[in-house]
Amino acid sequence: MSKTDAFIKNQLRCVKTPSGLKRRVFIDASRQDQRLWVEGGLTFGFGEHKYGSCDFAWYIENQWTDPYSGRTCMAKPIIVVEGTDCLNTRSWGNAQIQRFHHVYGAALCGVTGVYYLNKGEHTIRPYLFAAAYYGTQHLRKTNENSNYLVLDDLQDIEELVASAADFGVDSGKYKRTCDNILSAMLNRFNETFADRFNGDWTKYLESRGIYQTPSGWIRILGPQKENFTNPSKRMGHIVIGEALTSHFLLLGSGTLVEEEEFTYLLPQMTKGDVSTLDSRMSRDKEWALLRKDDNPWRVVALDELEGISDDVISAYDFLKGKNRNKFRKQKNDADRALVSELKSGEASIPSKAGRRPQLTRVSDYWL
Amino acid sequence: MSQKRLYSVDRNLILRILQRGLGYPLVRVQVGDESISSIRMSPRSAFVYAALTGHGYLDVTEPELRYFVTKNMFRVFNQAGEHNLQNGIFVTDSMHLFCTPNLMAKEKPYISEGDKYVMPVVFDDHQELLVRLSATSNAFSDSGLNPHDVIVCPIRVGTKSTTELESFFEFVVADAYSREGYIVDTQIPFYYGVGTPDVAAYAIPDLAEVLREHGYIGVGGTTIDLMLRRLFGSLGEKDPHPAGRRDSIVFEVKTGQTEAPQILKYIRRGVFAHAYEVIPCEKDPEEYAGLVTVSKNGELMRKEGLGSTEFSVEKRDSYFDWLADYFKVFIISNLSNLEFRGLLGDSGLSPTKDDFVTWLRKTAIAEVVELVDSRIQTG
Repeated sequence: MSKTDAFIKNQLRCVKTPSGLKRRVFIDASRQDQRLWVEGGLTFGFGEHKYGSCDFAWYIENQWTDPYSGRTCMAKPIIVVEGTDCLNTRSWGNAQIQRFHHVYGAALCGVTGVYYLNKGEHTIRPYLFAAAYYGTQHLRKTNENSNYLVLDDLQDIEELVASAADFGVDSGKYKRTCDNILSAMLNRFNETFADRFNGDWTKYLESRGIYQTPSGWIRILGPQKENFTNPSKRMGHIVIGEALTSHFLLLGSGTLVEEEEFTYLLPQMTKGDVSTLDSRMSRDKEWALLRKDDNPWRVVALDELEGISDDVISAYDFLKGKNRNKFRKQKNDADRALVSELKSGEASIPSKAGRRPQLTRVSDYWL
Repeated sequence: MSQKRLYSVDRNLILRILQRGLGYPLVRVQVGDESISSIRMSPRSAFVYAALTGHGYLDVTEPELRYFVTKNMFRVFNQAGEHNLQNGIFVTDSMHLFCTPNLMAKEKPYISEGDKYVMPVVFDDHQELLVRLSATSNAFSDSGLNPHDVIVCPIRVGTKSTTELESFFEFVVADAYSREGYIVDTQIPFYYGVGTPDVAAYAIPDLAEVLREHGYIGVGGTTIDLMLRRLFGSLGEKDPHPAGRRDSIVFEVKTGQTEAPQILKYIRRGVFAHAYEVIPCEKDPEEYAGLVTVSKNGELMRKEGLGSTEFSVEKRDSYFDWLADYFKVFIISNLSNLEFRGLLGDSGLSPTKDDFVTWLRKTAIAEVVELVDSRIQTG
């Protein structure tokens, strides 16, 4: 529970709720939100996995079947919100990504999921808008009612709630309300994408640590094993958020097609570290999501790379257990050397992920 | 005594603690054919109880069939020693009062009207609780009683996790130490990376005297009390109170285990002269802290520890200086938005976060109280 949850829930409580819609919210000390929606909670699951709890929901009294458990209840979720006031806190950077997957669970179930970041001293990172936009396009291929919206304006939520109440979520008018919000999200991303990157996806993706290599697309992220086992670091939350957003950005860029996978490279971990976490954290929700079989990414550790130089291995060995902020230069040097070897083909991903990228544009991601 | 044994906190123990430990009257409320044991509180005490425990007023128009007032809604600063105003009482980007007892009472007038009844409700399934609350609300209405006068104290059984009742014991400690002249807080902004203590109690005689004189606290009070001057009037208690001694105490509450060693993190900051674990259990105090506990009859018991060896008068006094600014925000929450803007405008300032914090830091707490009081009296 975040210290700011009570404020966000209080804000959402102020959103006018038309008759016909009901609200579900729990106070900060309650753990009821961690129960599945069909059990009266605010958590959604899909396939074999739960995706984390949300803060607030509007629903109607109608039958709903939970895709995760197959059970039914007489509360059909319409709009589900995960909120944060992190833009007003000192952890505004990482905190933005930590709950991305919570909303994704609701959106996977064919619900409008809203990630609400209350306006603050800091800004929403543009890639969240793009990832949610392309994520929605991806989800709508299997469920046309799915929406993943990233918002910082309560007015938008109020409009959404009013539209759902007035026209119903299956109506064209409600879909247009959602599409207008999605277009606005894409515009906000494009401000950065066009201005700072001239619309160049490769450059943009590289700024996000996503590289095109002869072995395919690789997302590089630097957590150490200990970051996962210390709950206060919330590394599992960050890593799964980065995995999902990377996937949606790759889809949106048109450089990865639906059936293709990318490599999620953890250079500060070994294959042994990953195995250890597989056994130690088998019941950890975020780790389980990261490692599930049908993911469009494959987790690869440094010592699984083929042809990687001893210099790069030593550079990462040196960083092991160290605070990377205090060894920023060494960390940047190691990352640069690793990327260089991967891009040149000197180092490569072992066979399973060795498919080459197909550089096709997928125009249907654009409205 | 070497054995440690945790007490099971059930409905009867809760009623006994509130009655015998804290002195609230135990009454039976006749609802139809049923007579329900509950604790009667004035609306003011009930508001403090609701805010500190997070136990809601019965209200079937609300999600969860209860209207919740929680201490975390009234956030002020993020960290001790800093003045980084957070969203909570104020929305900081537009600097307007957003969450105050006065605004809550406008939406739900019943919170300031009539005595309230704290009723423990035992349940093991969430849906079952909702069904029972709905039935209780109907029964009250049918008997000509106001269901909103009920504050539901939910006691979950059949689960290993009993942390849900920790906030109840935070209230118990806050209430007990308020009566001893302390100003008590349960939403403490503390130092970065150290965590947040459950409860802290401060004896700051000169500051408390100002608050007492103007009816913001009685003998002592909680930070919630500081916001209730306008809604419930002056506390007006002029009883004798302990004078002249500065003190600072930290408490850590546990209801699911017999030790709370994380209290050491707070002790090590040097701010607190004393530390107590608050655990409903049978045991001797640990070496690192005293123990506040209850008897099976609900009486409060305090067992002294060895005292903090890491306490520093300088650190405490510096913390107390900052606390005065923190308390001022609660006092200002008695104003309306119009009055708040006028307050800053009179000093040539605009309602921005920076201007407000500047004003807060340069205005003595006695002056803040005078300025707020003069507006309350004419408002």
